[in-house]
Amino acid sequence: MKAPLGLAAAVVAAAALPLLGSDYAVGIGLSLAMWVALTQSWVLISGMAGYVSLGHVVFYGTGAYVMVLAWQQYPPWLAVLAGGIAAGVLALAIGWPVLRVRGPSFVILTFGVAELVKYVVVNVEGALGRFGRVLFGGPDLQTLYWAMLGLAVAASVLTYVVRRSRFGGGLIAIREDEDAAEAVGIPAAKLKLAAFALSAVIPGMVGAIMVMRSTYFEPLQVFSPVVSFTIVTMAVIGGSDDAPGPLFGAAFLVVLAETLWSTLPEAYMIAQGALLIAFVLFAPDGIHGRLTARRARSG
Amino acid sequence: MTVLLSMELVAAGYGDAEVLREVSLSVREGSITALLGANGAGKTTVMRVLAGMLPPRNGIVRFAGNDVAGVAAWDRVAAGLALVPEGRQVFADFTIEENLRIGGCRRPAAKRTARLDEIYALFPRLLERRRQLAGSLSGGEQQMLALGRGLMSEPRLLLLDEPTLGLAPAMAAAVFDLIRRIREAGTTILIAEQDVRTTLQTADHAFVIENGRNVLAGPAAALLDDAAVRESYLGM
Repeated sequence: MKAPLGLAAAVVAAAALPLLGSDYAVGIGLSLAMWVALTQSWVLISGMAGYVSLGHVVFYGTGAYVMVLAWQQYPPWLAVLAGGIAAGVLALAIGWPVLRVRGPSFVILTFGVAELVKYVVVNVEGALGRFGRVLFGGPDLQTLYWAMLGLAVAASVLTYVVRRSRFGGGLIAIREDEDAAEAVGIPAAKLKLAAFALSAVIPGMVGAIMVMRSTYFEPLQVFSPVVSFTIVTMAVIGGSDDAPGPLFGAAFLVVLAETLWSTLPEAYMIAQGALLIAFVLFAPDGIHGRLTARRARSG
Repeated sequence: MTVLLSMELVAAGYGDAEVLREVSLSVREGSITALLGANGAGKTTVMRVLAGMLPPRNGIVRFAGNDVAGVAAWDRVAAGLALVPEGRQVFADFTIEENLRIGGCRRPAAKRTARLDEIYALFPRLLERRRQLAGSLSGGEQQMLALGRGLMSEPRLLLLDEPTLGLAPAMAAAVFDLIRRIREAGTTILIAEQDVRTTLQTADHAFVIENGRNVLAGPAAALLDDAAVRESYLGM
């Protein structure tokens, strides 16, 4: 019972942050919650089923674009919801043809589709004569932070629950050996598609909230592949097999970013690359994997 | 006896490689039927086509009287056609019990638990080690687990792809023993093997393929005495 109580206390403390901390602290909290929500979602398809998505930013960007299009015509909460649904539908449309085939084609295609959608949005905006949009009069920082915290908690609970469900067991069986999984009756194509759609919904909502935070929409920036790569890096560093992994990975990189980015931005990018290589080589199961391995040995 | 599973004039392959040119076979209900052939003859491809993991380019596969073209592998399992793939392919990071339970994932939960007890009765070694990770088992034990996992779906027909591959002779003999017991319990079996002698001694009927075509077929006892088989496959 200790762990759930500790986590509940941490969530309460996080929720109290805007009442106690500065705007700077809330801004960092918002960033941390965002990365937790994104990385947890990514773990559903890429950690559990082993189908690595290099283009998760496309769902984030789709949610952001839905918010932009709905701006001042529909209430923001409705647009956030619509952003999540749009991202989920997009994942179904991408996954339907792609997840029938196996192997590296999925990785390449996720990256390609994200770039494609980015330039489609650039051109649509260009045709509309819009070069960057400003979103005035959105919710304040506190409200955005609480909404994002809610998404981070929801995404973490989702990963935790799926990991322990029959659905999650099926995904892991697919990751271990897709042939054997099909041979024992696991409907691999259906499970992969469901996991992919599920992994897109929360990132869509995250994007819709973040565009209100930045108050500015510019497709090249919102659909930047750096977002996808950062998600992968956080999952690799923290561990991508279960819910604690993304918590470790996101916290680690956000703290690193805050300490290095302001003083030595070049050093931050180098450090991130070096860390990614080091973890892949020496700790492929991430911080969480290392911790559980140690506990298993000593216990 | 009625025919439970058949393939008629099937062609199949991967990309430009045509592995099966024209293969036909049939498995009678309640029998042990053998599929024999040298390495590369196409045995595994036949198994993959039957299990629904590779769509044939030509020909028909029927199970229990129905054309199963377009029926996905996992739905064939639910219909009673289960494959124990070559090389065992147990889920190494799952425990033995988790492996078995996943094998019964298409059965109702209550039946799954009852079936688990039956499997443990058949494989006492697995019961002793049920909490161990499957990856920690020896090759023979992993084969037992793969068999048990295949049986968890209560199949009408079990496809066994080279179940004794890489096993010590004593372990291979134990596997053949189990195969007989599985048949006695009412499950029809199609087994692909390279160990021709033991397979023919165990099976009722056999098909021999070479380069993706049928070359011989008949009652197993007759093939065991066949001059061509003795020369080509038994080295006599």
